[in-house]
Amino acid sequence: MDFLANLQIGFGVALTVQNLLYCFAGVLLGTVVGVLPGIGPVTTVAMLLPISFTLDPISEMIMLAGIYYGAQYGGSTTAILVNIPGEASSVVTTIDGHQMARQGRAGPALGIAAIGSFFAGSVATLTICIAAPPLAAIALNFGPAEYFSLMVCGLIAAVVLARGSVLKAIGIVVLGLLLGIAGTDVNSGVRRFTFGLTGLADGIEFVALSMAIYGIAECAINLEKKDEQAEVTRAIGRVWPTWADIRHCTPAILRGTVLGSLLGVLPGGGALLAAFGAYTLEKKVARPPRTFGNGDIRGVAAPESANNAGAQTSFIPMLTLGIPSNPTMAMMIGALMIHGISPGPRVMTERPELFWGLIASMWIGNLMLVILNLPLVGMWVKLLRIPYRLLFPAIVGFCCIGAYATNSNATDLFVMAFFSVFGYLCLKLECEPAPLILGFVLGPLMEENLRRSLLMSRGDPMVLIQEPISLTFLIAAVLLLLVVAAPAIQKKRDEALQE
Amino acid sequence: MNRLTAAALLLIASALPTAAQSWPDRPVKLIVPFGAGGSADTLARVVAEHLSATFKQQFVVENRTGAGGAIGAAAIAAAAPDGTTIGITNLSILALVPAINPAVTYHPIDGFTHIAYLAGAPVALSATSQSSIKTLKDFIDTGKKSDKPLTFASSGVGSDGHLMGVAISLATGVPLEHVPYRSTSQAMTDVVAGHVTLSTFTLSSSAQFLRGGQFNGLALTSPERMPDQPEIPTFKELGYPALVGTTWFSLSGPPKLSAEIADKLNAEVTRIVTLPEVQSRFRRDGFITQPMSAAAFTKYVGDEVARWKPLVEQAGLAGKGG
Repeated sequence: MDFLANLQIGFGVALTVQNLLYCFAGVLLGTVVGVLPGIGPVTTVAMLLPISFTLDPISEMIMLAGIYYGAQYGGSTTAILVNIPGEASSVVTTIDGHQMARQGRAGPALGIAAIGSFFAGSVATLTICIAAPPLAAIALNFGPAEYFSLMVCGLIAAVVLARGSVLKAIGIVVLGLLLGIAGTDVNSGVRRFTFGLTGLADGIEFVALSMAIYGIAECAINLEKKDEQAEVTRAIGRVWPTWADIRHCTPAILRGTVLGSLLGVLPGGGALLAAFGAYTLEKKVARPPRTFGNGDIRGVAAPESANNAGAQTSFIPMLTLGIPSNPTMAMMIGALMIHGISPGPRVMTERPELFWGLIASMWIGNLMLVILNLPLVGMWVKLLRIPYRLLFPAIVGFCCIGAYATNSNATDLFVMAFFSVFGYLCLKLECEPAPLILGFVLGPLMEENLRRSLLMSRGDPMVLIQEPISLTFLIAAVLLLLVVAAPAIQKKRDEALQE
Repeated sequence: MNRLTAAALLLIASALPTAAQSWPDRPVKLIVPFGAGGSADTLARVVAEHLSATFKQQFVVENRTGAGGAIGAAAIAAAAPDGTTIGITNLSILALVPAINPAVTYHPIDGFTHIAYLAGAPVALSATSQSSIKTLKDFIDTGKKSDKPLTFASSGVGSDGHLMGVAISLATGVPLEHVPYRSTSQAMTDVVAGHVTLSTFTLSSSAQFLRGGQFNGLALTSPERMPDQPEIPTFKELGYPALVGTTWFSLSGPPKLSAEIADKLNAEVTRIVTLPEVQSRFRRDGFITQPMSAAAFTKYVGDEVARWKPLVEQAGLAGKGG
């Protein structure tokens, strides 16, 4: 069976000493940044992008992926013990998780979070194995018209699912699209939005932009927050939950895994949406529902399973279609591009070792994470004592070195400085920057595909609705827009996202 | 003269510009105007490794990307001619970009000391196997009958593939529509799926699809048939002698580089590209070599500049990239 042969390739790659080390480095780093509030996987991946040049692309992807799903484990530790989400995707875990800790059940809460995450991670890995090849096979027949419509649909989904005001999200997406098309136009060779600067002839450097927003601006915002005197729960107790706990949580873990896997694939989805969705669902369907908010272990199990499943399945659209569903995936695409690999349906056939090696590494990484997180949890808690006056200057320093090292181009530093200020203002104005990054990556792709499909149809825009797949995506996009516009549904959305 | 002055004089003397005889006495920077991992970068690293071994001095590859290679090329042209900075140039940097973009700061011939021709890659005109085009004759017949021009994919406006497409269109009289791509892999995906009919990518980029049967190889721009694709004819043998040409990579330094250094490098590069291990690598990558002296290569650059300029104009690109 192909499936087994593929897994064999994958484990063959992932189990080499070098890749095991990178996988371990990734999940370790992921756990650390997961535990630390204020620095997340996106910041970390952004800072590590410039290292891409020196690493083998497979090891690089294995490490970056490890950071992303590793942070989902680490984030729950802080959420449960300190009542501060280490990651945005652990926000809902604080609700019941910290209550459990106050009742002296911190150990089981941490335990169930790790067990749920591991189960969900394993299922998500299998889901990628099964779902990705047929999806890539379909995607191989996608022409420019189909790609354009798919991206329109994806961007609109990203807007609909963004937190906060829809209007702001639309504004930010459009700005991202415009920033993305700066530089030399691929169809005519004309330079756009470069202000005559040679340094901008190739557009705005993605590494500089993402480090500005997720590295420097995030740090600045975090500095403003008063040092919240974290009340760290000292007594963790027995980590392994009782059989009764596990039996009680099994349906929650299953539901969280399925919902998380589905929401992860959506454009605009990923770990964050998965965790929110799963908690909301659990509150609705679990019996008895009363205990939620008062330390219900299912309120930890469901979102923690879901965020890990979502983190992993969000690799599906990135690996098969070359379309990022969240900023971390956008950065993965950036990293692959640095190696001259353009993500898309071809990767699976041309670089099977990369594709399957990455997937196999995810399962290995999940196993490492369980070991890292359960017995060593006391060590991670100590991390919370690192003063930010040391951490943040280090981040800013890394960002500056990284932005310059990418192209040895001083313009990139100015670009980063400019967007640091810009990103800070955005965050101040409560504009979620995720749609900006998605728009920035998708903008040039959308434009290229639209113009290419028009070139091929000799300028006839009807081609976009004559192709059935393309038409389907466009209809889906319109439906999504209607959903946002409908007031009743909008209220629901706000409720769901505000929890 | 006391000892102090003597020591000072000695210091000054040692700081004087490097004499060509002792070159290279310091590490040499090899600027690659393209990203890591591409053809130019791979070539540069192979050459740098051998040069470092021969001259017992590090040749350090530095990627200076941007503006289609113009940024790195300008850096090579502006370096001090002391032999510590040389770089990789190519067809696009020397013959295409300056014709398209009047704002480039370097002159393709006088702005450099051209050192050596490294390798050339012929273009393979290929058709997707989804179409009925199997030979150059099919291409001409279908292209002339079709009410819509046939489409061809290349790696961007003003790329060698684009201009080769223009040249093919002119020589054969078949109208063609250019579809530019930012990434080679996306272009290949679209040609394999039949969204675009033709490809004018280099043989090295097309080889795996030709082998896999997704592409039909129609004709090559190499002077002779290639050892690994003996079944694909050349344009020359099919009666289009004007369509002989390759995209090429070369080694250049800043202007006024001493002839002695240039000749030393030329002799060494000529030896490197004919080494059996380098040749087998080139053969696998679809590269051909044409050893020539530094003077002969400088003349070659002049010929290529003159040859491509009218095609750039024909494609309506001259002065576009401002």
